[in-house]
Amino acid sequence: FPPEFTAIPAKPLFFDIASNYINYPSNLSQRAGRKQDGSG
Amino acid sequence: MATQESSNNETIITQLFGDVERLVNQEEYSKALRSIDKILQLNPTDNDSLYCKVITYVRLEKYQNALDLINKKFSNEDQLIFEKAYCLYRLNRLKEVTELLSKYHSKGNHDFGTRHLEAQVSYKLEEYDNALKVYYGLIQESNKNDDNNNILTNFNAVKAAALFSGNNINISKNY
Repeated sequence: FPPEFTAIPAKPLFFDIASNYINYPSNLSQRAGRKQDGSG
Repeated sequence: MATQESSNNETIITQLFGDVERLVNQEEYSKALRSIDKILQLNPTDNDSLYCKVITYVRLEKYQNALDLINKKFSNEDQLIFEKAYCLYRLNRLKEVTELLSKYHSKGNHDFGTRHLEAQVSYKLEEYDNALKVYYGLIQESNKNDDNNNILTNFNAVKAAALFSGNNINISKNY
């Protein structure tokens, strides 16, 4: 004691960037009866 | 009478879409699903509503439900290809994703979502050369202000994985 330090494999970060491109239809706010104002 | 009823339905559907929009902005996806189903009760073929339902299932991580709905209601080859491929990816049906995407890309489509997905699938399948190639292209095209840092993170993860696996790729030469 204390235990010895040992090397472990580090898994690098990897993001699911594709999920950013899963989006609701762009005309959703139109269907909700609102004029397109770009904030939707 | 019939026209009055249908215009009445239109009003209700518009209100329900308003609810859907508000609820998804609040990330209340289960509640949004209920409003979407109300729209579909009034008009089962409302395409926007079906589209919303697919996306809501994805947000709820119900990928099999999303996939079933796409296959049932968007059977036309060119509809919701990316969404379909993404669901297959999350269900770990990677071979099918590869087939779907290579067909899609061979038709001259080059949107960011499907290319990111291709790179992610390649990474999972340990096809590091292809992942590096796709990311390299995405980095060249991306603006500095969008998710360039995230792309670089993934790019470096692929490089690390490739080196760790003992692949003899010409990283420094090509990229």
